[in-house]
Amino acid sequence: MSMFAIASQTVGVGGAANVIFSNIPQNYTHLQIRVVGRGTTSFSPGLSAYFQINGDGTAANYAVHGLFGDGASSYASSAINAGTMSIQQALADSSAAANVFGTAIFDLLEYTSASKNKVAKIIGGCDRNGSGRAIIQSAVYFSTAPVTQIIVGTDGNLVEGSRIDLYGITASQTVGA
Amino acid sequence: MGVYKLSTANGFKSGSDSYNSMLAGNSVYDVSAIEPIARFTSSGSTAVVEFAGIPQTYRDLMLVVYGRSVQSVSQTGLYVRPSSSVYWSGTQLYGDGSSPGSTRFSNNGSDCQVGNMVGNSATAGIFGSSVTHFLSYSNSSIKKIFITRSSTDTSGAGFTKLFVNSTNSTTNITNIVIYNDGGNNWMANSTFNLYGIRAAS
Repeated sequence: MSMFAIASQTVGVGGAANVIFSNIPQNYTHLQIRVVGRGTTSFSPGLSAYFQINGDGTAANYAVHGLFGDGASSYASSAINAGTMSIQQALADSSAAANVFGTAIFDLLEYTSASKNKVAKIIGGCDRNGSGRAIIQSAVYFSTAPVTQIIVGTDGNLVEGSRIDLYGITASQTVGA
Repeated sequence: MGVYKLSTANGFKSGSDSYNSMLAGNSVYDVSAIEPIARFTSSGSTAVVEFAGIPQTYRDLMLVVYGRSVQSVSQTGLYVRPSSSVYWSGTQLYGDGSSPGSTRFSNNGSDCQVGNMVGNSATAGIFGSSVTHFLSYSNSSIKKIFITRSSTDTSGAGFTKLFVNSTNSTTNITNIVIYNDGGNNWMANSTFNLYGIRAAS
């Protein structure tokens, strides 16, 4: 198994509403998206990183579950009719100190499958030296369609310097144990 | 290494084309995004592992540790200090087999915990594992952020942890120091692997 860089995007001056990966090659087995991001909305627990699949914004097609640590206690949350895959409170908001960003690593398994609904595992968080979150999240997209497009966004806009990288992961050519 | 193309399909060409590898320009060959940078295996007499002079040519770094301390405890902290002359902070989420929890530390100029490893009172042959991602480590506009999944399970005790850490500096990461609680030696065959992760060109 090996990992290959498919596309990299860095948000430029003025920020961006989102980053779009289109025409995703279908010759890998899994995908990974690595995010270093900060948004323009003010919400000190942190901002969500959203991952919309194939341009589908139908709320009922997504659900998420998360486990959070806020430095003092742990808690869980979930949402059905979520509208996108996401990891909540992972990215830095506009009230964070300068140059502070959050991160998310998003793994989408068997994205080309035409028989399986798509499930992602996501880790992420933002530490602000006295506050912040560490998060483990799962997300489901109720569709068996192969994934050809992913739109990545946050609450508000992504600020300049935010970067999102897409990788493809291949399976071994060896059959059997 | 220099690779020179001296011929065309119809014979020798005038002048030469220079490439940096035998596979350069080969549209079929795809370079892996993960590249090994350095590896260290403890002989049992090393307390502090340091990767220095880290190339600044990757997007991210990934550090994989499979370790056990010689200290006679069940669990020990794993500390990873990237760069120097900075303050570190961190937020962790963990489960200890009976309950979840979360703690944090801040403004620490000495230590930066990123997870747990196994100590020498655990059953022989059991090690702890961790993977730390240092994101945008060579970007001088971002305060450094790194995230670690660590796991220790000794059948009756253990932790699963997620740590999100940051520094108060935008200085690029050029060296990483790795040690455990009390600065005890790493057991023989503890391994430390550093990888570079490329971005798409």
